[in-house]
Amino acid sequence: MQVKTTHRNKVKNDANQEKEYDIPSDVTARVSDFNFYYGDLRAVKDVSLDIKKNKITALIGPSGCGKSTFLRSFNRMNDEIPGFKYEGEIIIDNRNILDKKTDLIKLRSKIGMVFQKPTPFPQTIRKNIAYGSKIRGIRNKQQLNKIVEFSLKRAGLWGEVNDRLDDLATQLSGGQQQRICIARTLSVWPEMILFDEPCASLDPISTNVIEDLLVDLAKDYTVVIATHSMHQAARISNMTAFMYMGELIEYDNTKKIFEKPAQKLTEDYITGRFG
Amino acid sequence: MQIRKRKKNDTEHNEDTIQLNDVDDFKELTSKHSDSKSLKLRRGMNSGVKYFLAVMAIFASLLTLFITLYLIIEALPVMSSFVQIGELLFDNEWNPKNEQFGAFNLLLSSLIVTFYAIIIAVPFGIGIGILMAEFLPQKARRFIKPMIEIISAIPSVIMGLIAFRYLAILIQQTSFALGMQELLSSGRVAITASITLAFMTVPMIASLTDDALRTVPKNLKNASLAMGSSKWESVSKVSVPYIKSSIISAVILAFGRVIGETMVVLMVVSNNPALNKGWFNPFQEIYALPSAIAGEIGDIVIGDAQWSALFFLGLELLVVSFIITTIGRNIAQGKISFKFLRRMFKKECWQLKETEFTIGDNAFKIFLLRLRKVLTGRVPKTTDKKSRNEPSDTQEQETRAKVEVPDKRVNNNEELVQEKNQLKEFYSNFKKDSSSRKLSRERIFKIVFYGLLFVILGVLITVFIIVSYNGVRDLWPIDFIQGPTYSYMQAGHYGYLKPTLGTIIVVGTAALVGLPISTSAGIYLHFYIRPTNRIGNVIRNAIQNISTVPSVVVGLFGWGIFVNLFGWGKSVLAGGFTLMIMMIPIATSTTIEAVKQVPLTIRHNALALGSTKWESIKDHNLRYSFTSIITGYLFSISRVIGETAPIILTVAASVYSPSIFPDSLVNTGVSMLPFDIYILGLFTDKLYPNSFSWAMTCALILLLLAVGLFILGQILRSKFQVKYE
Repeated sequence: MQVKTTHRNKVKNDANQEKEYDIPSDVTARVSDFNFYYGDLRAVKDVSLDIKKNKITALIGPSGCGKSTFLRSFNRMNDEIPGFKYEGEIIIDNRNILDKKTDLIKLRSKIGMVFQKPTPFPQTIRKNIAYGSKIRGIRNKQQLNKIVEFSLKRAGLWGEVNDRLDDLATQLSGGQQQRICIARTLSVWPEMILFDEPCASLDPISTNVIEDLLVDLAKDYTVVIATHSMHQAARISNMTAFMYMGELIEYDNTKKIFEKPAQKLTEDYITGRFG
Repeated sequence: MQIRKRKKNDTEHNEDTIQLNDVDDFKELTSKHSDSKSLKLRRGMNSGVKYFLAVMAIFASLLTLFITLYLIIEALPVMSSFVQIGELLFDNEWNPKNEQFGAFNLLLSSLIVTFYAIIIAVPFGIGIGILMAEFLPQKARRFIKPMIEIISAIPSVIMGLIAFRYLAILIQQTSFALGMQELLSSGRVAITASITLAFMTVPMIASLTDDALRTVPKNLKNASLAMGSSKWESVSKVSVPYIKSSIISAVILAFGRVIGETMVVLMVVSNNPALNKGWFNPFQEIYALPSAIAGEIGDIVIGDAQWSALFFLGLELLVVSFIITTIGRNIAQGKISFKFLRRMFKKECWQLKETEFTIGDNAFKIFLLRLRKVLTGRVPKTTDKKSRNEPSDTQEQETRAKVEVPDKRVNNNEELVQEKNQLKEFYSNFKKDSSSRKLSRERIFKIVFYGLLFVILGVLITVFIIVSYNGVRDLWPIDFIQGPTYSYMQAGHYGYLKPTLGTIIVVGTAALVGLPISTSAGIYLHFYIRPTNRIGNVIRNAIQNISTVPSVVVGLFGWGIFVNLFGWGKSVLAGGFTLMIMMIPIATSTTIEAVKQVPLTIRHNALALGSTKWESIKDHNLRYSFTSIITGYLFSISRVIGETAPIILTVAASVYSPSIFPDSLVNTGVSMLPFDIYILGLFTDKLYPNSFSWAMTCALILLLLAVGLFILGQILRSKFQVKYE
């Protein structure tokens, strides 16, 4: 609470001077007292946690528990919903991104997002990947090609599509489409990537490929994934947060959450007693 | 639960391996541009575009206000007092020469024509709508639906001329043959116009019914079919009740559209404001509001009483069609329900209980109470709370205690078993003949609906045959180059290049000005205004309301503002701007429909990549819906190209004017196809024996233009649309 008020005063007194937050270097984002409202509905309640750098953090919980909403707050995609309201702080790079002055364009290029439904733009594969760079003003074809190649390689898709970069991306299979979306997100080199149930509409084999990819990506990026499959969280994540009815019930090492949960509710959920 | 990390199998992805220096290269490459100057530019562009779009949307939305205000200002001299307004509204003596402007019979005439047109059109429209949505095979539907929609692309002036030349005579001869001369001595009566208008209204009602029926959830249909009902039963008992309010609103919207229709009534019916044969007799000559405006405005002095009176008529027409259309729309959106109509026939609503009023209440208060009851179905709150039937807590507990939990698996209730057997018997008797009866009923309705469809298609084909036969009959190829001069017309021929060019120029002007405005407004309304925003809704409704303004009123506005106030005279600019007003609501709504098709997730993906709002719209929604937007343009142009009433008031030149190409954009009349059809169609055969076939050639060209654009739009829509899952 104290941090909050001082922060506000600082902003009032001197808007240009940044408040220094005392955050360890292995934390990409610090969330404190975060609340989110759809109109009158409080969808996320008083969540505080640290997202660790170069780790996979999984958000689990039954559907409607607010994990997606919480995830979408990191790059402020919730702004697209009418009647939204944020409270509290999410600090990334020494800045409260929930601040009204936050430049959403910069924020969103720093924090990428992959959505539940594979949504390649109905264009060629090359244009899909190059889009993020093009809007930033990179016109040089060689550079663009390099970016396309690198991003596709990083997403493990280069071998599959390098001979048909000028085909429509919508003609690929579901798993490939999702990896196109991941490559597209990688093309602008974000620091943190949000995955909103990336495997919910995929078959088990594609899911497997994408899970491998996520583990691999965590070497260079901070990964946050919201998933309704707790097995997926157990397989790939380092940290796990269990949310229920908008509240953060427990947040700890994945191993601890799944082996020795501190809360009864968490245990009930992961042992399949509800949800 | 065990935690197990998957290891990447390197042998599988040989080609995908990445060296470390690659990563650094890439980081440098992408980070170089993320903070560059272009960000400022992009943000500036984003907000600049937003303001531009907002200005366009506000301009478009202000048009209705301008029109209404202008009509009021011009009509003020004749409505300076309540007595005068009362006379205008309720006197039935319309005699401009004696300065008598009682417009009651004019309004009544409009209502008569419209009422009978709708009465005729409703069975056709709903029948064909149900047929198209439920019974037509997919292949036939693909062919027949556009055919029905083509009817709405036929310009009304062509229908008016054909009705005047053929239907009126047909009706007269029929009445003579049946010996009903007393009832119908001439064919130029209200019912002739009603039949014509009904034909033109069928596609609107049919496609609205069809669209509504397609929104009925499949589960509902399946549930009804699974209970063993026939297809017809599931349509009539489940689907149609489900879309009842849509059908009612379609009918009301059609009413609002028809009441402003000018050309058919103007050309078909002989004007006679007396209404000698009673108020709701369609077999008499009438004088409708739009006809009065379009017919009398040619020969009046600017600023005198008749001028004001005509503007008053325009205002009256505007208000009437606005009210009707608003009611229709609100019903469609579920804001008005027809429950209160049902309530009005219930006794309980008219009876008040003792608790609801005290003896001291006066009659007016009791009346209000009753009215409120009928309108809302709500009983006013009484002070005595105990009179309500609310169970108290103790009662509730008692009832709860009494409930016994039955064992679901055992059924030893003898009464129930008996009842079951009775039911079984009942149904087994019932089943024997019911299925055959069901099928025969379905067959009868199908035959009736197909009959209605074939009647409409038959009329459509007849219209095309009449137009093309008469249009080609006296045609010389050289007529397409030669201008229609006096001597040329004396020789029995007319030139078609001039009116065709004139139409293209004027409509082109309208499109050049109107389409950018409407596209901007559409984009602004869809992307920048949330559905909950009040001001946004005002703008949205205002633009939508332009389409409720009858075309003759738009013409009146254009005539007053562009022709007289701006001093452009009857010219390309005046006509183009007037048609632009008619184009804006159509093109705006087609733009919104087009950009809506692109799923929201695509734009969200673009936003998540760090694009600005405008970039996400431009690169995705606009790009993928480009063909749909163009299709919308074609539809709006085809809708406007046949408009006649506004053209008569704002562009029309003498058919004799020599130059093929207009010399100037202002103060030079232009010859246009719809106007030529109107003028040539009304020339007597004695003056120019061939004038009717000239008019029909013009009609053929206009029809080809309008229907051609319409069909082109249909093809574009079906071929080039990007489809999403």
